[in-house]
Amino acid sequence: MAKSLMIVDDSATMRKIIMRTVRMSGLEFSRTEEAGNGNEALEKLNAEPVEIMLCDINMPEMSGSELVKKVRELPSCDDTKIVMVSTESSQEIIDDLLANGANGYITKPFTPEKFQEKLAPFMN
Amino acid sequence: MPEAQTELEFEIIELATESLETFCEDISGMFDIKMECTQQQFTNLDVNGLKKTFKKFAAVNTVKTEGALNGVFYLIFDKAGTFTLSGIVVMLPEKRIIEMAKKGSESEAENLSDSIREMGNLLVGSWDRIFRENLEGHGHFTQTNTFIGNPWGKPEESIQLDSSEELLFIPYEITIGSYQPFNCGVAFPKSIFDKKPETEDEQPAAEDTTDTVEEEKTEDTTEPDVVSEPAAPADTEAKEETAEAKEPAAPEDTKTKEETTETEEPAAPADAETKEETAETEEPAATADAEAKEETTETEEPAATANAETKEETPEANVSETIQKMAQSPADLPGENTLIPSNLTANELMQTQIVWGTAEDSVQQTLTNMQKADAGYILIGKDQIPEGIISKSDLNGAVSPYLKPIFAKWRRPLDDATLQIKIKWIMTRPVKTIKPDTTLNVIMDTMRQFGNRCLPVTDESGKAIGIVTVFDVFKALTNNPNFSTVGTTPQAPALA
Ligand SMILES: [Mg+2]
Repeated sequence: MAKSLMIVDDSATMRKIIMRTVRMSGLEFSRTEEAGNGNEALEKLNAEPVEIMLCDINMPEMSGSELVKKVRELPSCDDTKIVMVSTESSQEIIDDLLANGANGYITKPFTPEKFQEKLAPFMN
Repeated sequence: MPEAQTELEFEIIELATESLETFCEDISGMFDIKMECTQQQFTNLDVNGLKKTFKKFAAVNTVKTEGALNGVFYLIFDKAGTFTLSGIVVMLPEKRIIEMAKKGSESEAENLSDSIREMGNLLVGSWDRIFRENLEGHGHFTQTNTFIGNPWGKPEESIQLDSSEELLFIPYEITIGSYQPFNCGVAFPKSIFDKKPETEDEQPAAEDTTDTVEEEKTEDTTEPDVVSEPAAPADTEAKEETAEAKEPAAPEDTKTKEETTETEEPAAPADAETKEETAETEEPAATADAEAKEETTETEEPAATANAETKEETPEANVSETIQKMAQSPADLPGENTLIPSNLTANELMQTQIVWGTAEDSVQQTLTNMQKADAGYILIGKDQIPEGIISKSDLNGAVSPYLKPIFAKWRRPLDDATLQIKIKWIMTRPVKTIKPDTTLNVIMDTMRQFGNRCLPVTDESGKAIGIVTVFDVFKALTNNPNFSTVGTTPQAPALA
């Protein structure tokens, strides 16, 4: 069964780039959603949870780490795998995210191979 | 001012070059292009020196740094660099990128501001990674602002840089594929290299002020940035949709090219075809856009105007459009061509059979629907309100050319995957619509200006009641007794 995907990033350009790269990585999703900020993401998740979420860290209003915490409070998203996608490369920040409910991390810039490698474990 | 560089400065120069090289590699991998940089001779200079390199247009990324270096520094791209990079990111056609790299305006940059800023974000990310790995005591780089335009008039306001500040400047030449090389550079205010006081009381006065002032200012940076901000969301969105239309075709295109070298014969037509489709879906929007934009630059005040969509519809834009036409060909004034029946309106021209689809449909479903109904266009939306429109060429551009039976041998799973692309990614949005009483003249002008080959006709409630395609226009023209289709158009000018 193909999984559903949500891309959360404040930059519309980046959302498209991620979408394009995901597509080029050969991974197939049954449904893809986009959200431009944390609140939009939560709203959409409340309406219909997704199985994999790709999430930016540096976003105005609600940061990626705050969003992760809030998603983890939603019982319907217990099984949602959250993979952070960010230029942030500080190990402390990454560790903190993983400790707070994120399941993986991809640094920007990325390649289709990177997506394939990091998302494949969550595809089955 | 001492010209000699300190040991720390030399170390930073080396790291800067490594960081930029890393960024080039990152971008090359991400967008499947060849991007390279060459370091030029570094110098000590001030704002005037930067102005000489970057002239009247630059994209300046302000980077806040703490740890081994303290303060802010600047990563700057010239006009060609700004447009080439952001154009590649949103997959604009090559021709358009070349054109903008040469004479792109501030308002055109505004429309690309989201991608220019995101490029800056990626750039800072690459730099932060290299500095983190190699510079002892490195804390963090944060992109605090991206200024797009001419920052040199009041650098204190635009980029929070004092004109008297001495800078260490490292210029680079960057090449991307076959595009014209462009300039970029990093400017470090000399004060950034000052050692941080070990204890609070050592050099409190000087250090503290720089620190707090810069920090306050960087907080403010969202203000001046507003120049580019307001247009960004809606417009970029629209642009991207246009770029999207081409999206799936692009990787295939590259792939086709690669195959060309290996297989020769079949790849060539495919390549040409993909290109053609791409051009068809892309060009018109971009061109219409450019026309309106160039006008705006001439009449100045690009920052004040909203997004392209509104610009095109403002009376000013129409006036300048008219003036431009008058200059080009006085015979072509709108409304004065007696060959075109002026009494015909959309109501009489339109086809009332509309095929509807939803944004969630796949390319494959939509192709089937189109074939079933023998329609060239499908409107996407709910309750008769068109949210998007998709043409046969859009679909052809989206699916892999390898799906054609002739290429069966080379077909891969990824090619089939293109049939599953959702319509929402490739449809044209927003939809340019006309009213039932829109005249043939205006319809033709709208099509030409916006590059649309199909215009939905909507009633007062915004519901689509029909569509007018270029073929309906042709039909109206050829039925017109004043319009002669006899004879041939002269292909070469007569000698005087
Ligand atoms: Mg972001």
